[in-house]
Amino acid sequence: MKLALKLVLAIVVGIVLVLAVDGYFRVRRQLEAFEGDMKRDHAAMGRALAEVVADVWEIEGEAKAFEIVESVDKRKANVSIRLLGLDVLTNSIPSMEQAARVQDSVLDGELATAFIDHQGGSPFLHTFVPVIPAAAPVAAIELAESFAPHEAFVRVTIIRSVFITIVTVVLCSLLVVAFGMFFVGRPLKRLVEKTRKLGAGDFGTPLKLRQNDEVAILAEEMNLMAERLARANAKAEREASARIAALEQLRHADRLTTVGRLASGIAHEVGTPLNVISGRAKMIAKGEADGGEIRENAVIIAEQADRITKIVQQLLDFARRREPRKERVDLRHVVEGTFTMLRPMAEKRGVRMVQVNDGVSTDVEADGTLIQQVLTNLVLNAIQAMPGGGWLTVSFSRLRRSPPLEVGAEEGTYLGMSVEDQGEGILEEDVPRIFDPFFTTKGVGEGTGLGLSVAYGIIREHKGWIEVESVRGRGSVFSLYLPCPEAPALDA
Amino acid sequence: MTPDTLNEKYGAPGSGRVRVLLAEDDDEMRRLIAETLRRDGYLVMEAPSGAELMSLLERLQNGGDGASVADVIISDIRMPGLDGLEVLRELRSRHLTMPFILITAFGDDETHRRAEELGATAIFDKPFDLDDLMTVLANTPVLHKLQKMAG
Repeated sequence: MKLALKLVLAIVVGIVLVLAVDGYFRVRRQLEAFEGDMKRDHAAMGRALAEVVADVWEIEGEAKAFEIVESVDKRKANVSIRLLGLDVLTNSIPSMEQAARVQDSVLDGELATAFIDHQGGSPFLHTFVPVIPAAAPVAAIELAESFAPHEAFVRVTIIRSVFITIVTVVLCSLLVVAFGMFFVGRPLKRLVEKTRKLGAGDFGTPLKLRQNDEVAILAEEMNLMAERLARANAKAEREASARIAALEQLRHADRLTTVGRLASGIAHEVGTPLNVISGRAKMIAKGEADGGEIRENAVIIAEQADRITKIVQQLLDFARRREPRKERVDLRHVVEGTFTMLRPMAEKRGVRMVQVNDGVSTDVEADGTLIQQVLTNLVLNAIQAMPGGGWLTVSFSRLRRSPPLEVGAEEGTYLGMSVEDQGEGILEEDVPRIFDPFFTTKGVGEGTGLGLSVAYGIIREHKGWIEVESVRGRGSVFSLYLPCPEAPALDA
Repeated sequence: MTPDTLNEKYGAPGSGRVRVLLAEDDDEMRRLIAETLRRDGYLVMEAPSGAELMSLLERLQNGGDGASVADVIISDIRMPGLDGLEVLRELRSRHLTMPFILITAFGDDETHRRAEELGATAIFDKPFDLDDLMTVLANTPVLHKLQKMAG
């Protein structure tokens, strides 16, 4: 549990710091106390002795004074007491400074102390008490005591302190690790596992922690999050399947539309003539028609039958398209042929047809019949687009074009033939669908919507394509493009 | 067409002959139905489209005496411009309640349902037997009464 180790480190540092600082100050205080005690002892003893010695010095003389000091010294085991003449006062003091200080003090009649290190490194407290028999100090009593026992005591205290520190550290570390593992480590492990499972998409059962702290709060939040994620996931899945279902439906409807349109187209185109045929035939059968009327009815029946035949043929044509039989064809002749065929219809509506050519060669390699079929369809559409009459213009152009992607041909020279009318035009939204099979803008009954898609197919088989441009209210231009033959044109 | 000539061609109201307005864009089909109706004594006014039918109705209304100018209307559904169902809706919205028969080439459930909703008397899917149409006309109560009135 790495977290516990960090905590332990922090605790260790804290404990060590506190205990060390406390220990240090305690030791110092201890030493100071010892020093103070010792000094007081020395001072008390020293002063008392100094008075006695001063009296003896005065009354019985210097030698007697030394004797007394010697006998006292013998009686005191831990303190060595000497009577020093002023001249030898500072002999035992190594430091010049200290020596000077002591000397001055004593001469002033004041007590002085000095710490002096003896051999072996152990410090001694030397106390110098001036002996003043009369008015001025004549000698000083030197009390010297070793600080060593106290130092030993201090050492023991330090060791004890360190020991306690170590024990505390170890105990606390163990406790931290134990509590950490129990309250943090294990729950966290469970949380980590839960998170991992969430990540893998397993929303599972909520994690319940039996504690009442931040980790438990985290666990609760994780549970809530898991719940929300599960719901969002379910929603996304539902939406995805709904979208797929909708797409399927659209595709289905799309297919239905084409088939549906075809079916309704056939139903109308064939149903109506059939009705007429059936009605007329029944009239004849029931004897409701007489003489000339019988013939009339028969004529009508025949006409309607023809109508149905044409529709069936158109449908078959759409279903089966024959291979184009290509030969050198002059499109001008094709146009003339188409005009001739459709002139009566055009004139009925007041449509004037004209062919325009700026000297462009109109030779192509194509199946003349099929091209005529295409042109017929285009011209017919143009005528029907101008119920009030107008100009129908067929024009030629020769240009370098890159065909649309679906043609799959490369850039090349193409012969363009355009059929332009001044009719109602095509609605913008209808333009992209204009070549779709069964798409028609005419009322049902005027066409099954197969003409343009058949035309498009024929031109595609010739490695060309048809384009349309239309302005509502102004007219439309249908342009078909066929590849120019490789042989050079016969006219310039 | 002046109101008088209308009445001449069409017969004045109350003359005992049922007046039919027929809208069908296919010429042969319209001829067939009109002929069959006339053969049975109905008076028929023909219109090649829904729009024509409406304008015919309007002219007749203005020229007539305000009473119903047509006793029954027969209309194809799919015609250029105004289609049969729209004509029906228009008439009903003007509170004209005469019998209305629809003919259609593509009679799916949706179309039949809408026809019923709009209050059509009957709907025929092409191709249908003309005898069935005549039977429906004969059995429509309103028309029955009219014929009886004249005696």
